[in-house]
Amino acid sequence: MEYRLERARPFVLVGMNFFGNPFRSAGAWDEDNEIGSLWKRLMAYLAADPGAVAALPRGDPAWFEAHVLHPSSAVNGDYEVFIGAETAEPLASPAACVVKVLPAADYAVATLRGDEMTPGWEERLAADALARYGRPLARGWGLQRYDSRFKGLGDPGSAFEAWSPLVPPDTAR
Amino acid sequence: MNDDERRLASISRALDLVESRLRDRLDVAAMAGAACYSMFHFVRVFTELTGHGPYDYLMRRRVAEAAEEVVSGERPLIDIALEYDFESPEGFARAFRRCFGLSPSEARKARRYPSGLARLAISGQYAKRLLASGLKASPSEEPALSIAGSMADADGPFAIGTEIVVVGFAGEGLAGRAPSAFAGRALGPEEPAPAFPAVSTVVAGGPAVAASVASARDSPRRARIDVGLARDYLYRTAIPVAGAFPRGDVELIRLGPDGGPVELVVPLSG
Repeated sequence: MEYRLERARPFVLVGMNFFGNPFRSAGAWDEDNEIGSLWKRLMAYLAADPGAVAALPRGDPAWFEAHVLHPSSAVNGDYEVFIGAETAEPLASPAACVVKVLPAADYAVATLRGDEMTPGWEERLAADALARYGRPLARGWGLQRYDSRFKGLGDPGSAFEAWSPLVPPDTAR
Repeated sequence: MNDDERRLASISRALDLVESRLRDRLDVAAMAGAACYSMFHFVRVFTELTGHGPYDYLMRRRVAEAAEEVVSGERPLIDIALEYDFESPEGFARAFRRCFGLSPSEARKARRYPSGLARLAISGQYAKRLLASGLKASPSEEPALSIAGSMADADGPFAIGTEIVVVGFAGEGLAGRAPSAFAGRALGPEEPAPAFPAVSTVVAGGPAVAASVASARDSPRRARIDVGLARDYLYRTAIPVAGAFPRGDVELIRLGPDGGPVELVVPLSG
């Protein structure tokens, strides 16, 4: 894994979202979980209308999958999954899409390749954070960034980035 | 300890916490804390290993425990609801109906409820067995079947050439009987019943859910399944989680070429 620190990075993203337990339907009998369905829903929408959203970088956008805790998440485990791209024109977004604003934060960014994408990588990153950055990860949300380097999970030539917000320095102990 | 063993150990701690707190306030954040996982990771791993979302499991365990008291005692239902941390009798009644298809007061009046749908406690050992089994549930639309064969014991052994076993439930037997099972071969659409064996039965078609080993589902040599585990998984997890109810008259066990069970099919109501 390669690591870097991105400081004070805000996000304004346009895309689509889901709220609930995204793994519930796969646990029952669907092939796809809700995250897979969300990706398909967004990509089908964009394929039908390629110019619908002003996604960045223009022509070859990077896609972010955000997992966001809500106040009720502690009670029932449901949370928000958002998939979208950065945009400079959030107010031009179509009604079928939602705009997600994530406040500026310092991010621990890890590039995961091939076998490093096996389940449990989030916990490995969290375990390393204190030693690597001197503060723990903030667990209210997290992002995964996918671009043309991503060929599929487990593909040895494939890569994506995990963007994990760090607890602000003044609150970290 | 490999990755699966680590995940099972973590989820076992959350499962143990649920059993110790069925009557107390407990939320998913505390379950994730017991597993030493982030919320995101915990929800994924718990759902993968048990088939239930963590909150769904917690609520079903509470209802399952409360149901025994509902049908066996005289305590006011509101007391039972509050004891199991439901905020109101209405909330308890909704959860009870979701689990069993009837209200607590109906269950008390009848002195019974469909206990076969109650989510029994899942142990780490059970989760390990389920993971190792590779069992997956899939929806299916089953055609009506005419089956030629003979009466059999539901647990076998079955005659050579048996392809399908129809397990009927007592009191709602096949063709007016109440057999333990009927084993034989499904006839083709236009195929007449053979002269021997002379006995045949018909199973109504309709929506169903099937448990099999997913990786082998389309293979000519499908993997054997543990019927007991598959039955537990379908009736107590897959069907309830999908918000469905079993039809309750029969279930079908399909056998592979070697006579071993490869699929359990449970017809659904509606």
